[in-house]
Amino acid sequence: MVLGLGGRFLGKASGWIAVAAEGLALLAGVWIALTEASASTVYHDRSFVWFSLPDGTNLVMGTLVSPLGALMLIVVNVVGFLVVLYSIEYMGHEEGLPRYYAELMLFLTAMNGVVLADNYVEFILFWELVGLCSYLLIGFFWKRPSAASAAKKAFLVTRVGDVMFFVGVFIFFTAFATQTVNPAFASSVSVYPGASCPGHLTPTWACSGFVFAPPNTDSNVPFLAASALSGAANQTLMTLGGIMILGGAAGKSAQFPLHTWLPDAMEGPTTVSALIHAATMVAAGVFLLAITSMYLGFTPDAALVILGIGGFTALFAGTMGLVANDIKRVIAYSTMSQLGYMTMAVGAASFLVVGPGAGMYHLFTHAFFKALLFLSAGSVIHALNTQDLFEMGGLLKAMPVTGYTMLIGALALSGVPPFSGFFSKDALLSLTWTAAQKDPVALPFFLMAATGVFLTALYTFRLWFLTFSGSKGRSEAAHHAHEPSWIMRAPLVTLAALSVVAGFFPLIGGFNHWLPGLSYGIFGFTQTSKGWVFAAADLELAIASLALAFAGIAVAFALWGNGRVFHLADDSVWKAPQKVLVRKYYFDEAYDGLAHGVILGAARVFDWVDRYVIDGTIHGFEQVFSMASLRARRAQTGLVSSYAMWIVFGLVLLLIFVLYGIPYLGTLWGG
Amino acid sequence: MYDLSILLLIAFAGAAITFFAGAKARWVALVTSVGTLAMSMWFLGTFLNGNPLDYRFVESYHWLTFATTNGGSLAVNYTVGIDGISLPFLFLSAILSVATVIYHWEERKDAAGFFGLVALTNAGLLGVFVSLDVLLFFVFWEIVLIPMFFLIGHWGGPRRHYASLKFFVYTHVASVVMLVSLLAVVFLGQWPSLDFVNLANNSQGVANLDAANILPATQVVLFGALFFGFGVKLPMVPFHTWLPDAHVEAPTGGSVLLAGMLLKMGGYGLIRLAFPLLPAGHVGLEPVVLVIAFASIVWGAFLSLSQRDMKRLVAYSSINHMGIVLLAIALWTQLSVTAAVLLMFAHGLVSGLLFMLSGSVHHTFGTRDIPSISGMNSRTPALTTILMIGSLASLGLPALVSFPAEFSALLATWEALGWWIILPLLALVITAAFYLWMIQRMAFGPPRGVPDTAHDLPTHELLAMVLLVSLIVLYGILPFLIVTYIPHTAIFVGCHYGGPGVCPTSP
Repeated sequence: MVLGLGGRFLGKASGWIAVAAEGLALLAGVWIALTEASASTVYHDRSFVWFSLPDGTNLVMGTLVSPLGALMLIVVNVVGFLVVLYSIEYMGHEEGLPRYYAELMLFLTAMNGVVLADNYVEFILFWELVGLCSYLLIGFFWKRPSAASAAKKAFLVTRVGDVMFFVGVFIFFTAFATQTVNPAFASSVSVYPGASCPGHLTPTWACSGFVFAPPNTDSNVPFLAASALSGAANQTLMTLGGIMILGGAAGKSAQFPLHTWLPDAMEGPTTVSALIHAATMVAAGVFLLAITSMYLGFTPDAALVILGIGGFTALFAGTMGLVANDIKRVIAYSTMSQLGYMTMAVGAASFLVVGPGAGMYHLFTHAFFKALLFLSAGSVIHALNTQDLFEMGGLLKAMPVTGYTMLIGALALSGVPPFSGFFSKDALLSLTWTAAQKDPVALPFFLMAATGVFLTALYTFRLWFLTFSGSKGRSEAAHHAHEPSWIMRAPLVTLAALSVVAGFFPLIGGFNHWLPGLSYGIFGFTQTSKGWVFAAADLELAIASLALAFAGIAVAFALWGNGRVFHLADDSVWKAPQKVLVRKYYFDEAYDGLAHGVILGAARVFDWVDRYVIDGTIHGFEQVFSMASLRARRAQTGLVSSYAMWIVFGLVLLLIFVLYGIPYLGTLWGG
Repeated sequence: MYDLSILLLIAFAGAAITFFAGAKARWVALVTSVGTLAMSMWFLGTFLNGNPLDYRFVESYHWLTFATTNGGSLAVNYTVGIDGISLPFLFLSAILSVATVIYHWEERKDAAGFFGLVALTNAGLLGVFVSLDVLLFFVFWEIVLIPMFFLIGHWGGPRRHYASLKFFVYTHVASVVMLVSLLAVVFLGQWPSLDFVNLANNSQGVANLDAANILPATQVVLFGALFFGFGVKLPMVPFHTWLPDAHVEAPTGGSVLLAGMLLKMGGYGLIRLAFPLLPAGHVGLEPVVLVIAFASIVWGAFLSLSQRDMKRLVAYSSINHMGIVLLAIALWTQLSVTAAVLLMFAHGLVSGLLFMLSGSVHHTFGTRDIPSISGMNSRTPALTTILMIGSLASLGLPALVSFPAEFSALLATWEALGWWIILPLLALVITAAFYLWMIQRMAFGPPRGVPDTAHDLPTHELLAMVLLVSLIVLYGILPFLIVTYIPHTAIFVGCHYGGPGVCPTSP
C-alpha cells in the first residue's frame, strides 16, 4: 500500500507515467477498500513512530483503513485517475507539464494520506500538504497576477481555518484527558488503543497519541450516548473545540465565512478545479467533520452550529451562483453550496448522535457529478477558449457527448431521480428534518437548505441552457466548436455513468458500514436493521424537494431555455440585489480591508515604532555615551585594525577582571 | 576519551591554518568544517549508548584554584561534555559552516581571512556547546563574537561599520551582564568549582550546585540578569534592533551563522544555565518572560509583514521564531523544551537557507527590494523553487522540519496557558501571509526587474542550498532522527523539572 502511494511521485516524467501511477494507485485503493469491506477487523498499523518523548508524548504516523476511509479511497482515486487521464489532452499544450503532473500526484498522495491517517497530527500533516498542492496548482499559471493572488488567498484563508483546527485538536485532547474514568469513552477508545503510556508516568492525554476513535460501524445504533458525558465534561470547552474543528473544515470546504477563496481558485486549470472540488481539497473538510463526528456527538451546541453554517452556506452560495457568468464560477458556487449540505448533514448527524453517513453519501455522489460537470465545462472551454456563458449557446449539436454528459451531471446536481444526487440529497434533508423536529433552532437552516434545492436547479440549468440550448452560438468560437478526442470523452462518459448509478450504491450488500448512520430513503422507505420501513414524512419530503427541483428547472427554462438570454432591465428593482450578489456580498472587499487596512496598517505602525521608538531609545543612550567619551569616538577611525586593537584591549581588560576580579568577588560573596 | 578535545583541536587548528593558507584557504576551511561535521556525526552515532541522564564524552582537567576568603577554594577546570541538548547544536554548527564555506566558494575579497573567520566562528560555537565550566563557556562565548564582528565589519554592506559596532556593543554588554551574574551564582551558591557538569544531576548527590543556597529574592534578581544576558542574544523584544541591522549589512555567510547559530547561543544558555540554575528565579519572573516571548512573537511577525528588504524580512521572522523558542523554554516542560531545541535546530537550517537565498537574490538581481522584483521564476527557476521551499519551511509547513517543532511548542502552550495560544496562532497566520506575499510579488507575475542576463544559481550556491533543503526535508519527515537525542539530559530530573517546590535541601 505504501508502495502504491510512493509510486505517485513518478509522475515527474510525463503525463502518461502519471496516468499509469495513478492507475496503479486506483487499483491499490480499490483493492484496499474491498479488503476493508470483506475483512472482519479494521486494518490499523501504528508501527511508524514519528517521535516520542519519555514524558509520554507519542506521535505515530499510523495507517487506518476505516470504513469512511475506504469510501474516500474509492472517491479520491477514481476521480483522480479520470482527471489525470483527461489532463493528457486538456493540458497538452501548456508549459511546465512535469511540474503540473508532479503537483497533481503529490496532491493525490496527500489526499490519500488524509484518508488513511489514524490520528489528528498525521491528518494535519497531510491536510496541510493538500493545502500546499492546491496553492501550487491554483497558481499554476503563475505569470497571471490574478492566479498568483488567488493561490495566496486560498492558502491564507485555509490557514486561518487551520489554526482554528489546531486549537480544536488541542481542546479535544485536553478535554478528553479528564474522561479517562468514563466507561463509554474508554471502551470506544480501546477499540483502537494508542501507544500505551510508560508505566512510571502519569497517564496524560498525550498517551492517547491523538488516535481517532472510529465511528461505530453499526449504521443505526447511536455509537455513543451524549448523556454518557453529561456533567463530566467541560461542556463549554468541548463546544468551543467542536467549533474550532468546524473552523478548520470550513476553511478547507469553503464554508461561510471562510468561503472567499473558492471562486478565485477558478484561476487554476479546469482539471485542478475538478480535482479540488470533487475529490480532494474541499472533500477533506467534510471528511474531517465526519471522522470527528464521534466527538461532536458530545457537543450538541457545536453540532447545531455546524448544521447552521452548512445550511446557511447552502443557500448563500446558491444565490451567488445565480449571477455568475463564468461557467467555472457557477460550478464553483454550486460546490460551495453542496458542501454546505454535507456540512449540515454531518452537523445534524452529530446532533442526533448517529453516524455521519448521510453527509458522506452526498460527498460520494457529489464527487462524481461534480467532477463530471467540471470536466464537461473544461471540454467546452477547451473547444471555445472562453469561460463566459454568454459567448456560448447552441453547442449541443456540435458537442453531443459533452452536452448530454453534462446534462446528466446537471440533473444529478439538481436532485432529479434516478440520478445519484437525488438520493443523497434526500437522505441528508430527511436527516436534517429530523434534527429540526428535535430542536427548532435547526428549522430555519433546514428551510434555507430547502430553498437551496430550488436555487441549485435554477442556476445549474441556467448554466446548461446558456451553454447548450438554442440553435446557434453567441460568438464566433461557438460556431466552430467540436468534440474533444476519446482521452477527454472517456472520463466524461465514465463519470456520467457513475453519476447515474452512484445513488444506488448503499443498496449493494456489504457496504452499509461505509456510510454509518445513513437512513436511506427511497420515497419514504427507509432501510433499518429491521428491513425496509415506510415513513410518510420522508415521502412528503422527497416529493417536496423534487417539486422544488423541477420548479427551478422550469424557471431556468423559461428564462434561458431555447437560446433565450434573460437580462435584468436597467431600471429593475432587482439590479441592486444583483449587484450585491455579483460583488459576492462584499466579503472580498471587507477581508481585503482587514488585511490591508488593519493588519498591514498595524504592521507599518509597528515598523515606525521599532525604528524610532525602540531603536531611537537605544540611540539616545548611544548619544549620551559618545558625548561622554569623545576620545574613544575619535579613536574610531573606521579601520578594521583599530577596531581589532580596541577589542584586544577590551579582552585583556576582561581577562584581568576574570583573573583578579574573581577572587575579589569571592571575598565579597564567598563568606 | 579525548573525543571532544579532538573536535575542538580540529576546529581551532583548522581555523588557524586557514588564516595563513592563502589561496588554499577555502580548501582548508572545507576540510576543517567537514572534519567537525564527521566528528559530530560520529557523536550522533554513538551518543545513545549510555545513561540517559549523564553527560557523554566528559573530560575534565584541573586548571586553576582560587582560595576564597572564607577558607574554601574555587577550582577552574577545563571540563567538556555533551548531552541531548547540546548535541543537535554541535551537528547544526558543523553543517552550517560546511554549507557556508561551499556557498562562499568563489569569495574573492580577502578570502583567507573570510574563511578563517568562518572556521573560527564554528570553532567557538563548538566550544560554547561542549563547555561545562563557567569560565570556559564564557571564553568560547566571547570568541564567537569576534569573528562575527569582523565578518560584518569587513565583508558587509554599505553601513557595515555601524552595524558591526552595534552588534558588538549590544551583545558584549549582554555578555558582561551574563558573566557577572553567573559568577554571582557561583559564589552565592558556594560552588566548589566553576564546573556545571553535575548541575541538575541530583542522582549523583551534588545537589548543592543548584540554587539551594540562594535566597529566592536574590534568585529572581540574578535570573533577571541572566535572562537579559541570554535574551539579547536570542534576541528578544525590545533588545532586538541590533539584529536586522547586523543581518542587512552582514555578508551572506555571516548572516547564515549569525541567524543559524549565534541566536541559538541565547536559547542554549537559557536552557543550560539560566533556568536550571535558578528555579525560584524563573518561577518568579515567569510573567515577564512570557510577556516578552509573546511580544517577540507578535512583534516579529508584524514587523516582517512591513519589510521591503527581503533580508530584513527574514531577520524579523527570526525574531518571531525565537520568540516561540523563548515561549517554549519558559513553559519548561519536557515537551516544550524539546520543542524549543528542535525549533532552534529547524530555524538554524531554515534561516540559513533563507539568508543564502537573499544573498543569491541580491547578486542575481542587484537588489533585495521585494517590490522591485517580479516574475523571477521566468529566469531563475531553481532559485525560485528553493525560495518557495525555504519560505514554506519557515511558515511551518508539515513534512518540513519546523512543523513538528512548532506543533509541539503550540501543544505545550495550550496545555500550560490555554487561550493565550491565540497570539502565537495569529503570528502563524501572519507569518504565512508575509512569506506568501513575498513569493507572490517576487516569484510570480509578469517578469519585471529581472534582467535577461540574470543567470540561475551557480553550482556552489546551489550545492550549499540543496544540502540544507535535503536536511530540512529529511528531518521534517523523520523528526525522530533528532528528537530521539534531546531528552537525553539531566535538566529534566530532580528539582529542576517542575520548579523549586520539590528541590531537595542541600545534603
